Amino acid sequence: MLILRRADDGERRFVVLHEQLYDAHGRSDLGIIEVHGQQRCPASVVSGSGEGHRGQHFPRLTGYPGEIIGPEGADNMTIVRERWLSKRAVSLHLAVLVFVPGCVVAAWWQINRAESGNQLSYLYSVMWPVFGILGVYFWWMLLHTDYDTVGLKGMRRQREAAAPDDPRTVAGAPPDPDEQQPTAPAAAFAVEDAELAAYNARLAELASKGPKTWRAREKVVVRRER
Amino acid sequence: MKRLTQRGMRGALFRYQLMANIVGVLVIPLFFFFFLHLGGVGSFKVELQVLGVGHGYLYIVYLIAAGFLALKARLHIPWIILMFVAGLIPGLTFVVEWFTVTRKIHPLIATQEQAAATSPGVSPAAR
Repeated sequence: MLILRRADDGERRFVVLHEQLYDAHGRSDLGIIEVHGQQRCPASVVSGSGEGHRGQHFPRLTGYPGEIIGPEGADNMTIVRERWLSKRAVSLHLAVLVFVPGCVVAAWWQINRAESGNQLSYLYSVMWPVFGILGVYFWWMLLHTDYDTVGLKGMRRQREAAAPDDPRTVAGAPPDPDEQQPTAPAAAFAVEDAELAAYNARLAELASKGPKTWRAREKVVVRRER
Repeated sequence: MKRLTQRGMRGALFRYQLMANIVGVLVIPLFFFFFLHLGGVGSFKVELQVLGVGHGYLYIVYLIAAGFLALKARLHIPWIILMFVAGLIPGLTFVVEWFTVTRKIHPLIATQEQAAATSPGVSPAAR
């Protein structure tokens, strides 16, 4: 079963789970995650973004579509809370709450001046509402912009995570048998059959279209074609 | 959404640079005449009106260009505010534009092109 889901750490993250991965790995504690279920993956297997242990668990499982890159089991409320109530979002709300009433007051002041005979104020009384509208527009767009995948810092972080083996962490310690084990899922992905390749192509197409947003309402659950 | 916020980085960069230079050039005589007006050298009413209204409306265009560039490049909010404020302060416009282009946008374009060249699956045209 192949399931594509959005992760809870950002709108552009997708999670794909393949039964072949579990069989090759031989770990049953991952669990089969159903399409409508809210079952959670073990945190030791799927580490969230920015936790830094991803390279140890899945040394080669980043860089192509179908990777597991985020925690599974996020419901919509988590996404909504992250989007609207994160620190960045709250600062945006505060900024727009100060800026837009300021623009309204300034526009009202210029309208009054224009009515009292100042010809120039007609031009300014158009300008200030435009500033307010721009403030609301950029507030909305900044709320709905994912910073992790495209921005410079996010791309650098992704590239570091996708680096196959970090020599600083590997060179010092002798290889641990537990750390060798998780290469099995990568091997499972390496032997792609044609069906999986087609699925990955479909995934890449979906990922290039972007996430499901308030404007692009596309389903993110994809089934394998029979 | 993605067309607005991700594609066309170079076009957005060009529009931002164009508007930054126009606004940055306009704001200098505006402040010059304003300080002359404050200093009592003369009234300069016509100059202040023309430059003030012209700068005001071009500043709106500058805000749009800078805002879309910031959305596309995922610049962070303090930097966006700095870009917006820079259109109002003579001289700062050019400095902020220079640092935005060389420190933020050009490395990002290089990183994106490198990622597009190395990653499989999605064709570069789809980005």
